[in-house]
Amino acid sequence: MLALNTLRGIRVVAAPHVLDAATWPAHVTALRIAPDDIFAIEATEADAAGVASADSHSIIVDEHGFVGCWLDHQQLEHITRHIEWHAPLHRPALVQGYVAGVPAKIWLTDERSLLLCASPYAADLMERVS
Amino acid sequence: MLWLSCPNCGSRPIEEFGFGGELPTVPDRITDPKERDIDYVWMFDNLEGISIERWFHQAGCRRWHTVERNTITDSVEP
Repeated sequence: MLALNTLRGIRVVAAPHVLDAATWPAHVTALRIAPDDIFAIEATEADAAGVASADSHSIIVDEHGFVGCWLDHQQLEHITRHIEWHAPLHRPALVQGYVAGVPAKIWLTDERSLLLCASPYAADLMERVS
Repeated sequence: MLWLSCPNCGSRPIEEFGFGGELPTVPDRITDPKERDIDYVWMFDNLEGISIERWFHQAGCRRWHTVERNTITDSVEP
């Protein structure tokens, strides 16, 4: 049984070339949701100081609207049965789209994967993949 | 099922997207700025053939993108 927990971090919206050049501490998982949008899990505003100085129009705010859980290979295989589209083969990779009909994201790495979705969808996602 | 190619997320079923309508074009023959605004907002071409449309990937990256859709065959070009 999967348990989704709140993912705390920061949301960084800035010019794509600034986000391309951004660096993050090792403990931070930075998910590139869109060319101009990053959700940096376990990051603080101080970690994005470089972005703020490089782009005066950047938006950096605390983000706690996502829930997620880490998956091992077996759990990931179970989740992928609920996906209609093809996940990329390269790692790491962020994939986004419907998982069991619920808008969700999966951060794929060689060791483990992170399933996450916006918190209002958490109950639906859990019900459908359990 | 119709699939759209999101430039950020890749190929996804159309259920993941919201339709944003035609990308409006205003004929050059309309020169008055106010009339151009009215045409832009209200007048749709409803083409039979290649229609340039805006789609919103609401289940993924939540970004707009533009596609060319053939309204006769429903085939889509990114």
